[in-house]
Amino acid sequence: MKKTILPVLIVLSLFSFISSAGIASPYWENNPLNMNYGETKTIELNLQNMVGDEDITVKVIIKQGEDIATLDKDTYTAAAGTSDTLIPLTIKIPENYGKPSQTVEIETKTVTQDQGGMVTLGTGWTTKFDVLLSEKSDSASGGESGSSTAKIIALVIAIIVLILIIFFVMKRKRKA
Amino acid sequence: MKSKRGLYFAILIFSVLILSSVVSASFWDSIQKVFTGKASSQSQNVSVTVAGGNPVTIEVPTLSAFPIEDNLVAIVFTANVSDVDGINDINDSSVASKLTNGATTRNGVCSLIGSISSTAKSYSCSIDLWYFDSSTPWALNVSAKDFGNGTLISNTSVFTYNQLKAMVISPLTLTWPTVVTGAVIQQSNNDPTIINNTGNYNGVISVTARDLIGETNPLEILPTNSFRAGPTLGTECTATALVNDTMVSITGSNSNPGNLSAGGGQANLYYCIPSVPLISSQVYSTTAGGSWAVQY
Repeated sequence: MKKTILPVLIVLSLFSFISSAGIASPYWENNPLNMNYGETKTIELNLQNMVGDEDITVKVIIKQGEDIATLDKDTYTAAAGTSDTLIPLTIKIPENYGKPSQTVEIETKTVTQDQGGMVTLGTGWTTKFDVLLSEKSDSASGGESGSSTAKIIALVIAIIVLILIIFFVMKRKRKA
Repeated sequence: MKSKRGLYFAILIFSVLILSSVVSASFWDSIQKVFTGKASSQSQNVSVTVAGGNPVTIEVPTLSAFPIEDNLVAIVFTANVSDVDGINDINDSSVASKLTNGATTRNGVCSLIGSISSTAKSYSCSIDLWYFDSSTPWALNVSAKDFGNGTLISNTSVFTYNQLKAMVISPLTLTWPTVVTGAVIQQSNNDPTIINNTGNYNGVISVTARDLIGETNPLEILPTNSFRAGPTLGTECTATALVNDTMVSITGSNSNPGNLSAGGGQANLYYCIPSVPLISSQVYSTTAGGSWAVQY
């Protein structure tokens, strides 16, 4: 009897009974990313595996916004007990990109080994956010620094004029 | 001679006018930015004048943080408290911090780091947030008072707690008893799928299913649209129909963010084959076609 039960128990112990992980994002459906035409930004999604006791591998796919969003690679692994695996997502907006906004949707799914049952279940997460686009503002395009530069140039000219005045006054006094 | 003096005087007046036009409150900040590339401080000050003494002013930084799956996160930041009456007038033990989002308040603690000038002190504050705390906007509030004035002053900035979609599911398989073609109301015999929300996502649960492929004859399939899934036991056979290789939102489901240790943060999914299609007798599984996914 014991010989019959033991192999069954060994087989069961090889399987995972839970699947766990998560993705954190600085942007989501109610928290859009604001960018300017011609701008490039890299945002980082945060892959976490804090609960399970096994490393997890996920496959990442861009479902929407492929024309502006790119990934370095499509497979990432997070060691068990970690929360610091970063998935960089680069958003590049062409200068002549016509739309005022674009939705970016990233689907992340665990790479699941077949568990031997009728239906094997894995987990997945969708990160979806809007990229709101606008023309470069004065402050963003250097307008503020341009204004500062003009002020500094005016200041330098004023100082030179003052030095010249002092120089001529002193020269005239010496002659007198 | 007089005309030249007049000219010099005019040039002097002109120069003074130019100087006065370029020198403004933010002028030296602008120069600093040009040469160092660093923006000047954006902290906001608030003060209330009360007769008989000067109150404190408080600088609160604008922050954001990531939740950590199934964990507590310490939000640590520095707040500066000033008092024109001098640092000795600042009541160190009165400095306090909290995060509020309307529904929830998390109180923190602040401790003195040291003096940063003759009128300002720096404090290190720490507030704990849970993994299930909402990603809706939070107000970061720091308050303090002095000995002389005694008025409790507070200042607030925006705090962003990012969204974390995380879950633990079990079991990792779904099974059915042996069914015959044409049979109706065939419920899974090992559901529900228990979904523990280990993040702060608050929303619907989705399932991406795939056709089950025959293990003996892979040309035959048990199509995905034969399956339904729902959050309530007993109604799963009339619940949401699944679609092949498509993320389908399960009607009535919710991720229920909450404290798992206190019995919250959990959801269930139940599955049913309302009517078994006319297919040949063999084992059908996800082995060849790929697993299903429970998704947020």
